[in-house]
Amino acid sequence: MRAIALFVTLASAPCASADEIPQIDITRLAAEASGQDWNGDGHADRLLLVWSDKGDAFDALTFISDAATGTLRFTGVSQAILPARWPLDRSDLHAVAYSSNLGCNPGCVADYTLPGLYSKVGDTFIEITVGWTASGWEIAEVQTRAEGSDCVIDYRAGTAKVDWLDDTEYTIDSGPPPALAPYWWREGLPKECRFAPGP
Amino acid sequence: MRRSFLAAILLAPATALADAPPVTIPADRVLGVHGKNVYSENDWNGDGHGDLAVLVLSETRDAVGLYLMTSTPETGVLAVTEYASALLPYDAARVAAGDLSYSFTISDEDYEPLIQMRSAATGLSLSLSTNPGSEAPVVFSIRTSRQVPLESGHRMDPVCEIFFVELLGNGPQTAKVHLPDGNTLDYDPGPGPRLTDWHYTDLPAPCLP
Repeated sequence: MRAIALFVTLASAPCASADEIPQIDITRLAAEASGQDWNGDGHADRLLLVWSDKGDAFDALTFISDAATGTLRFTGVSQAILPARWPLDRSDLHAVAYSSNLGCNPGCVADYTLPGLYSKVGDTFIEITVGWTASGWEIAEVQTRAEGSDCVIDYRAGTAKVDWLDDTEYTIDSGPPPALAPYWWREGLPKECRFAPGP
Repeated sequence: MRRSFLAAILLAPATALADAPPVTIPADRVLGVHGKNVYSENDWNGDGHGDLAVLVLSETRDAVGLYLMTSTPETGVLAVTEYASALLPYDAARVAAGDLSYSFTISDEDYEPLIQMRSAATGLSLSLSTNPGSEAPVVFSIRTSRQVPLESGHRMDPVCEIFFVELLGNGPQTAKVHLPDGNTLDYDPGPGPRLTDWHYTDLPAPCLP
């Protein structure tokens, strides 16, 4: 496999080809998750969060294990999956945590602990839970919160629950789960859930 | 003025790339990342910016290395300050089989990162502590324990307790290895070896998961 520079890849293409392992600057690493089996083959998979070129977002790099050998296969880059602010303020946070017990329609992978990508920048909080399916990575759930309002979008259940600061609460149709690779946090959110402009 | 200042901040990661050659590795060699997150400030040098530790697979893919990166107080830009190339052994077949795993956790004693290596097959778990905020980090301690299942839950039996420096509740420079034959090996491990000089083969074999 050909190694390429991540900043070159991200500048020239929307996402790296899955057969190319990106070369990354290690000072740009923000968080990592591994040790969990997200494709149900009995082997651990991996996800990395890295700072974007401009420092205003995190990109996600994903790996899925090969069922026969257990070796990791690079499955792509999702640019600007989460908001970020560089350098970090003391109150800013980011991590890869784990989510579970999501709503799940027939055919989705429901029994595994899914990675939740977490970012809090100023008043904007977003956690994006991703899952691996037969057609690739998809967004399973998004939770966002800002200025006392919050929104939980459960794509696998097809619903989004919006709770505004004034206690107005309603449910909207979330639409189908978006694919991970082209997902951009700013445009990926339904308009009802865009509480804050973000960084 | 304000606009140019903001631009300078947003472009800082790219600027840092231009200032010093970045240390780059293939993304599939990253095994663990320990930075500022919801669990930890991770500010070893106390400058208000998060520092960073990264576990990597060695170029030869037979060892686990550790990069320590410390922030510049004025800018928060991270620079590599330490690289230990063969901190722990790596066995690709055992990793792929789900036996071996590597991770960071946080020390209960000083909240600094602990490097962990676990074997599901043997039940052995190794923790290595260091002092990342020091200008010359050393290996502080290495502890290996074995998980023994009980009727209800489990207990952790010590296998190796090696303290290169005096830690709270332990004497200075003590090493105790519980050998497979039931005997115990006690020795003076000497002063804490520099992290960059440490090689996992320096460790008695029973200590490795």
